[in-house]
Amino acid sequence: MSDVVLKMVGITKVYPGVKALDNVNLQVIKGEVHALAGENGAGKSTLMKVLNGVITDFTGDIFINGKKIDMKSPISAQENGISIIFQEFNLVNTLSVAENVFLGRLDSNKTGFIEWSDIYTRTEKFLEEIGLKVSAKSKISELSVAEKQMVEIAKALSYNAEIIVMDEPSSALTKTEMDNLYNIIDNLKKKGVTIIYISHRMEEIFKISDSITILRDGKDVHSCPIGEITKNEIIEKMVGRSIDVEFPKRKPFLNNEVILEVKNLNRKNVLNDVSFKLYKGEILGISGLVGSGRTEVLRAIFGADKIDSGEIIIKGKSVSIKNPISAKQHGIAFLTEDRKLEGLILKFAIKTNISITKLKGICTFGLLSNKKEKDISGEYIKKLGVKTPSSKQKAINLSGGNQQKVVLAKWLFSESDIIFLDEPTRGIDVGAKFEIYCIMNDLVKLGKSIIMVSSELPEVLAMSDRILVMHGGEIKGELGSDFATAEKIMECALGNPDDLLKCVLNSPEVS
Amino acid sequence: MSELVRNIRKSNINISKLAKEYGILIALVVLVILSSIVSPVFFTEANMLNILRQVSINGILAVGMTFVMIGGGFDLSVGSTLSLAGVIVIGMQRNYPVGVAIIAALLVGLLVGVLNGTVMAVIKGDNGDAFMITFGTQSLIAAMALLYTGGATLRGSGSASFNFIGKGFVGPIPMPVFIFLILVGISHFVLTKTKFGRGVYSLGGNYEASRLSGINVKFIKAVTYTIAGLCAAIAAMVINSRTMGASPIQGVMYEFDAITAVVVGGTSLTGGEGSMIKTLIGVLILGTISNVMNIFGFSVQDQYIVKGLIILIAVLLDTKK
Repeated sequence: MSDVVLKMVGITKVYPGVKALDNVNLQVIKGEVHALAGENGAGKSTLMKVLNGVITDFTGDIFINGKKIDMKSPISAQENGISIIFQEFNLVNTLSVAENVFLGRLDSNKTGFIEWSDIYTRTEKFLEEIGLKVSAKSKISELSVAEKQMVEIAKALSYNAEIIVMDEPSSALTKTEMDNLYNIIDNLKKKGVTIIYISHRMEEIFKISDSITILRDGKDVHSCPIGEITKNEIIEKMVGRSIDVEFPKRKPFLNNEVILEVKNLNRKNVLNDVSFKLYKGEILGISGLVGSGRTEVLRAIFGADKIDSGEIIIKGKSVSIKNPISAKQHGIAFLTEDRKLEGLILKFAIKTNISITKLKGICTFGLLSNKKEKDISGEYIKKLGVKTPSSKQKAINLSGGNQQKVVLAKWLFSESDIIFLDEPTRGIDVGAKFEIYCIMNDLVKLGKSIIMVSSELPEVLAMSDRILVMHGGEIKGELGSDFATAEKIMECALGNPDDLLKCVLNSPEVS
Repeated sequence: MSELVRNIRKSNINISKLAKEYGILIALVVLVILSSIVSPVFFTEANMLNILRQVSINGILAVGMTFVMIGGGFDLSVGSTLSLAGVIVIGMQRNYPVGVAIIAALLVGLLVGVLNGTVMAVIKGDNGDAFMITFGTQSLIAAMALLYTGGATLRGSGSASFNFIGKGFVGPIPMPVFIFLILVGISHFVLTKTKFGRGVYSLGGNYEASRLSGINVKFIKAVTYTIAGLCAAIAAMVINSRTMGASPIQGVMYEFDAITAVVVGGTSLTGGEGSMIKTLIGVLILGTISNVMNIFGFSVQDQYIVKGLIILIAVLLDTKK
C-alpha cells in the first residue's frame, strides 16, 4: 500500500435544514492527482473548506501522514502543508507578485527593514520553477487570469505545501493555458506534491488524474483509480441516474419570419459593423473567443451599453433601444453571463428575484400582492425544477444550477419573445445543463427566438440552428448547423482573413 | 410522546427564527421593562409622550434616511437641509403668509433632494460616492442657511397656525408625534406595497442586476434622495414651530442621529435590506436610552460614550448578518 497523505474520516457538517456533508470519507495517496467530482451543491467546496480550516464546526477526523490534525483555522491548514487555490483568487490586486507570494511573511531583517532583494530572488525562484515568465515586481492587476492562477501556485509552493487543492482551475483558461497548467501539475507530481483537483470537465479528469472520488448530495458515492471507471459511469454516479444523451433532440426550425434584425452595429473598439438576422423560433448560436465581442453584441442590442451607430429592427419596425427598460418593452430578455453580479440579487428571496422583471404582473389594483408573487414564483419553481424548500429561500443559498434556473425563471416571467442567453450553462452541473437545454427547446417550440452566446463548442454545435462566429468585434463567419464543425468554428474565431473566406464558402447561403 | 418532542423542536426553531427577525423589537421591550423597574417616573403617560415628542424630529429625518439607505445610499446633507428649510420658513413669514413660507421651505428641501439625487444618478454613485457627494452638498447648503440669515438667529414665528405644527395635539397625541407616525405609516406602505418601493430594495440589493432587469434605477435612486430632502424640510417645520427661533446651524450633526437610528433598527449599511418598522424601533430605542440617561442625570460626555457604543454594536451586528 502506498503512502496515504490525507485521510478524512466520517466528516459531517450540518447547516440549518441541510446536511451539507454526511459522513464523508476521502483518502488521498502521496504524489497523486486526485479528482474530486460532483454536481454543484454536492459538497465539494464544503469538504475543502473543512480541510482548509475555514469550517471548524464539523464532526469527523482529519489525518495527515497518519497523524490526527486538529484543523482549527486556515493557519493550521497552512502549517500542515495544505494550500487551496480557490476559483476567486486570494490575491491583492494592487500589490506586486512578490508581495503576494510572501503576503503576511514580509519579515524584516535586523535593521528593521524588509530585505526586498531577497524577497524578489526567492519569488523568482518559485516563478521559474513553474515556468511563469513575469517579473516578481509586476503588479497582480497587470496579469492575466492564467498568470494569477500561477502566482497562487507559486504561493502554495512557497509554503512548502504538500497538498494543493485546485478548485476548478481550468474554468477561465484558454487551451494553451490549460496545457501549461497540466505541465505544471505534472512537475509538481514529480516532486511528490499531492493535488486534489476539483473539476466538472470529464476530459481533463481523465487526462490528468490518477484517482477519483465522486460526491453526491453530501455523500461520497464512489472512489477508485481513474482506470477503473468510464466517463458515463462518473456522470451516472454524479447525478444518480444515467444520462444517455447530453443534448436533447429537437426538430430544426422552419420559418422565414425575421423577428430581430441588426444592421451595422458599431461601438468604438468593441463592435465593428455587426449585422445579422434572427428568425422566429430559432436558436442562433454566437461563438468566438473571450473578448471577441460576443457578449458585447447582446449588451449593445439590449441597451446595456451605449452604441455609436447601428439600426435595430424588431418585427419589421426600426426601434430605438436606449436602455434595458426599453429593451424589455420591445420584448427582449437577457440572461447575463455572470449570474451573481448581474443576474440575481443574492440576498433576496427567489420569489423577489423572479418577479423583478414584471412587477406589474404581481400587482392587484396597482399594489404588490404577496400572494400573487408567491403563487407565480411557485409555478416557475415547479416548472423549471428549482430545488428549494420554499420560494422564500434566498438566492445566495442555492447551488449554481438552481441559481441559473431562477435567472431563467425571471426572464420567462417577463414573457419576452426574444431571449438572449449569455453562457446559460456556465459552471452548472450536467443534470442542470440538460434541463436548461430542454427549457430552451420548449421555448423555441412556443415560437420564441433565442440567441445563445457560449464558450462551449459542443453546446453551440448541438443546440444552435445557425452559428455566428465573432472575432475582434466582427462577425467572421456564419455556419448552418449541418455545416458547422468545431474546427470550422475555431478557424473563424481565430479571425484569419483566409479562414474568413473558408467560413463564407462553408455557410449554407453560399453553397 | 415523540410528537411532543417534535413539537418542542419545532417551536425551538421558531424561537431562534423569532429572535433573528424580531430581535430588535425584543431589545426595545426589554429596554422599556428594565427602565420601568429602575425608574418609577419612566413608565408614566407623561414621560412616554415626552419620549415620543423628543424622538419625532430625528424620527422624521430617519424616515427619509431609510429610503436612501435601503436604496444603497447615504445622505449626510439632511442636517443642513433642516437648517436651511428652518430659517426659510421663519424668515419668509415676515413678508409672506404662513402657507407660502411653508410651501417654499418644503420646496427647498425637495430641491436639495433632487440635487443630491441627480448627481448620484448621473455618476451611478455607490455608498462611498454618496458619502462624499452629500458631504459636499451638506457644506453648500449649510453656507446657504448662514447667508440667508447673515449668520444671525431668527426670532421665532408668532403665527398660531404655524406653531400648531409643533405644539398642537391631535386628540391626546402631540402633533410632531402624529406627523412622525403618519410618515412612518405611509412610508411603510410605499416600501412594501408599491413597485417603487420594491425598486428601492432592488437597487440597494444589486444595482447592476436591477438595471439589467429593466428597473429604472436612476430615477428611483434620485427619488430616494428627494424623499430624504423633503423629510428634512418637514422636520424643520416641526422643530421651528416648537422653538422660539431658527438658527442657521440648528441641524448640525442631525444626519448622524438619523443614520444611527436607521442602523440600530437593523437596516443594512450595504442596502437592499431593512424596513420602516425597524427604523421606528431604532428611533424609539435611542429615544428611550437618552430619556433614561436624562432621568438619571448622566453627563453629556457619558451620553456620548453610550451613543458611541450603541453605534459600534449596531454596526457589528449588521456585518455579522
